[in-house]
Amino acid sequence: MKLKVKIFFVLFLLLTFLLSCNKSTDYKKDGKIKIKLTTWFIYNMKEWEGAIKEFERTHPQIEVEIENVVYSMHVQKLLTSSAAKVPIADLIILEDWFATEMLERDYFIDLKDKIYNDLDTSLIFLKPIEDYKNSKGEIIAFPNFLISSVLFYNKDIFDNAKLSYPDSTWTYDDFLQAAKKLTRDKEGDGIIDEWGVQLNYSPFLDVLLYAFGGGVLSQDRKRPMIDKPESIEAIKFFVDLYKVHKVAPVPNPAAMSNTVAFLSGKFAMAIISNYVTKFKSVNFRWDYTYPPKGKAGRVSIRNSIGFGIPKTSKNKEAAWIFLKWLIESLPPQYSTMAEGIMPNNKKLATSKYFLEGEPICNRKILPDLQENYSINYTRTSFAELKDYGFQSAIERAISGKYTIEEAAKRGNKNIEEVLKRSGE
Amino acid sequence: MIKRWLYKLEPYFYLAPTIIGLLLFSAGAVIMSFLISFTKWDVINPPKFIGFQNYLIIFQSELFWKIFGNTFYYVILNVPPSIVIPLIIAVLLNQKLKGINIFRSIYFLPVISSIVAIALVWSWLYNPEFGLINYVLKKFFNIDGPRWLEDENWAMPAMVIMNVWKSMGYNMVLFLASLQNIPDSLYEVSEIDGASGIKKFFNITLPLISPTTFFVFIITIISSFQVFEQTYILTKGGPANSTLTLSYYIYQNAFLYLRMGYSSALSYILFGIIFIITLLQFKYQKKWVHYT
Amino acid sequence: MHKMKYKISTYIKNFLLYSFLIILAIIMIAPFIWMISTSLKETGAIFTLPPEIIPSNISLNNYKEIFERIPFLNFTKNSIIITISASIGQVVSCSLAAYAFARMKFKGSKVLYYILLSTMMIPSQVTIIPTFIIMNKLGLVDTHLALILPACLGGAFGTFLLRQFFSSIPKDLEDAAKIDGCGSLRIFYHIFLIQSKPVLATLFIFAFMFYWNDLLSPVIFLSSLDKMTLTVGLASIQGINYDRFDLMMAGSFLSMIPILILFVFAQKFFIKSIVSTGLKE
Repeated sequence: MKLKVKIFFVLFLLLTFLLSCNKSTDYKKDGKIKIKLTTWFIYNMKEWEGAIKEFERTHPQIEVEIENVVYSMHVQKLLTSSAAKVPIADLIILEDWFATEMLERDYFIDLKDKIYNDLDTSLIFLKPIEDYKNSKGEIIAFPNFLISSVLFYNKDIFDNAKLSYPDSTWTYDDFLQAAKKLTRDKEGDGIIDEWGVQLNYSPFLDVLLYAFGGGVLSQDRKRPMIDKPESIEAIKFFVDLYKVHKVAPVPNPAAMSNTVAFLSGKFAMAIISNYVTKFKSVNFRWDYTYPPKGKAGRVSIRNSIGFGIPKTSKNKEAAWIFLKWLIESLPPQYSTMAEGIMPNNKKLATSKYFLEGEPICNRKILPDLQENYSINYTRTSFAELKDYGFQSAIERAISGKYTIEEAAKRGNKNIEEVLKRSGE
Repeated sequence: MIKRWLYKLEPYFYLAPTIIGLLLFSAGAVIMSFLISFTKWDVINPPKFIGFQNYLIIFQSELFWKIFGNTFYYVILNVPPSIVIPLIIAVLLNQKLKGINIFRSIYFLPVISSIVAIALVWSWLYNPEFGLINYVLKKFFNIDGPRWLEDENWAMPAMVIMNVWKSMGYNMVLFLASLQNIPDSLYEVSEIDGASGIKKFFNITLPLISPTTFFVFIITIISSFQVFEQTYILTKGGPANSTLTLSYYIYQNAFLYLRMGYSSALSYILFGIIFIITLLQFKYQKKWVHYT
Repeated sequence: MHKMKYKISTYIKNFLLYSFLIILAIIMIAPFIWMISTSLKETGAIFTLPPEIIPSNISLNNYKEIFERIPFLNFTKNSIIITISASIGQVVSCSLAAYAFARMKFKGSKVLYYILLSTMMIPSQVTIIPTFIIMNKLGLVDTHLALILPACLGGAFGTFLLRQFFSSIPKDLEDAAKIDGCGSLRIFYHIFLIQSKPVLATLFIFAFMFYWNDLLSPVIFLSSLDKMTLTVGLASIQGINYDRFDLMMAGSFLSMIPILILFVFAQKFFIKSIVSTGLKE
């Protein structure tokens, strides 16, 4: 018995050792250049695979391999691979906050010349590219997909209350009035069944801060502006939606993303990022429009997702060829490959395929929103700013522990500490 | 002569896999990460030696002491119920009752699923608007439930409740395995002497399972200090930093703020705390743990 | 008269006991019912109030979607290979070490034991990068061995657990065997391992669950799609935000099934033929 167990165990180990002995594939195979690309858009895999097939058809000497990364761990993966000098990919997907974290770290190649010489810059939204520029003027990645914060609204709730839908003329006063009319306790049992507004710290509070004339950071992004009178007014508007007008429940600080709340169909309006794939199968009618106009005008927070080519890549030229193709020559039927957010290409963004992609919504406002109203305040330590900046202070204003002025002062101080920690 | 020499080396043969593992993996990793704690390192560029600066910044930081307090708060809330409740249940389940196996399996269910899945479900249950818990509280008991994970004062207790629920089965199984090693003859003898149920529990059961109790105690404390997944999924440290624990802050610094050196320093402070507490436990175990 | 009193009091005791156990069982199982129920709902239907335990439209779309989005069977195969190998490795290496710590006296025993236990106390976030560097030097990156090998080289948790158990096995059995001339290996096998079936099974299950649900190691050490484990596959479905609750619940439930099967089989190690405590019938 004992011997049998031993033998079985040894055999099992041998078997697993043999099974796991596959060598990973080489970079150059049968004359083709193989490049690797990371992505996390698993819900749009068909579009990505379709696009790559099309690219390989028109560029037969390059083969593209997709690696699906777990979004929540992509930074860990990048860092561990980089520490051990193990190559990851030739095109690495990243969001703007991580790109700004990497600006000065000498990790990605400079794309500035390639962008301004190889690309038709009349086709591209140029402002987002500035978000990826470091102190030496190098552009470390290209923002391929642009996210805007928009005003989502639940058509069924509006119809039931016989209110007209939000449009581009709305101000935050119109917003508040509508929210009041749309908050209802349908059964009279003390439980509110439909709320006017879904409160969230990002992007809604950011949008408010800038729309009221205040902001999170100054223009040079070096100093906090939370305790400016305009910012305090914006915070007051935000908090009062819950405390005074009672048109919104307390914003959920973390557990569920903002879209989840709106997905439930219990909120009439929400100002959130325009990812729409998850809305494909909801059981209520919805759409989105411009965020309302504040005292300082209309504001939408811009975020972006893009690709960078790491300095460790062995096929930088091939990677750029693919990236250029992705920006300029992506067939329109794949333009929704990033969960419905807008590709950074004016022609694609106004193509029939993008505008009428599933799920159908008001995508035609996106180019105008992006060009004229989008604001971005990312900088190094953006992640830490989000975590330890002013959110906890505002949470306390909502719970009543701080007054709004105290919260603003505290928030400002926290941001200063974060900036100091990052060596500002 | 050779035989005696072999006999002396015998333990090392049994320990060979463990020693190889320690040398190969743990030693290198531990030493490296300890050295890193004296540097400023973003992983991508070479590390810069800065001596004790990380540690100095940590001890002077207000945020650190808040995190320190939160971590201890979690440990204190989590450890007692995580030990006492499973013990009671294990005693109850250690009987020849009909269907007892079904109960054992059901109580072990929460342990089987990943903490991520459990945390997601509980984040849903705790939702003040759509969640089952507040709904049941209002409908059946007419209580307005608190805002749970959205309330500064309730977020930590909510996390603890979820964790006790999940790990109940874990410790219960350990206690059960230990209880079943107690020969029935001991109980029978004491019954002849007229001992009641409670007397039997305190005089026979508890002492005989004390090695396991000690194990459960140490493991529960260590894992409580290292709580991470729950914070990551449920609260991300909020609201207002009330559930921010050291392990989560270590993760943030390492992989979100690219401050590997600072994160390592924090890790070694956490390690130091756990080590000292565990060492104290081991020193005091003679007072209440009975090995044969 | 005396007999009747005895019968009634035990009847009440059992009734209370069962009631308590049943209520607790409901509390234990409720979130899982919720998990399965949510996984069978369509995306739009997961937010209804009052919460629906039995969905009005039972739909297998989520399960279908999971099979479409990830190579589920291949991932499961990888997970099974890695997890079983690692768990066996743990049980074997930890029991050997635990025996040495529990019964043998040797130089440095205490120090080594404390060093081993210390490895449990260091957060994995900071050791993952140095460990990856070492794995890379060993050429094990992107192989299953990277996940299996450390498991076969001992572990603090398992050794600690088994040592506590071995320390409480009565010495007389050993002494008898020694007098008979048994070597340490035979004593180890016949006395310690056989006696400790429940705790060995427990360790195996705990190890199994740990390696099965481990997300960090497979993400960091593996990169080829054909080597990926199920946990990673399910995590990649989460996307950027935790939006598809229904999908994630379906994935979590699927991921639980192998462990459930294992636990049912391991149940018999927990049963002892004659069992009693204070509450006797």
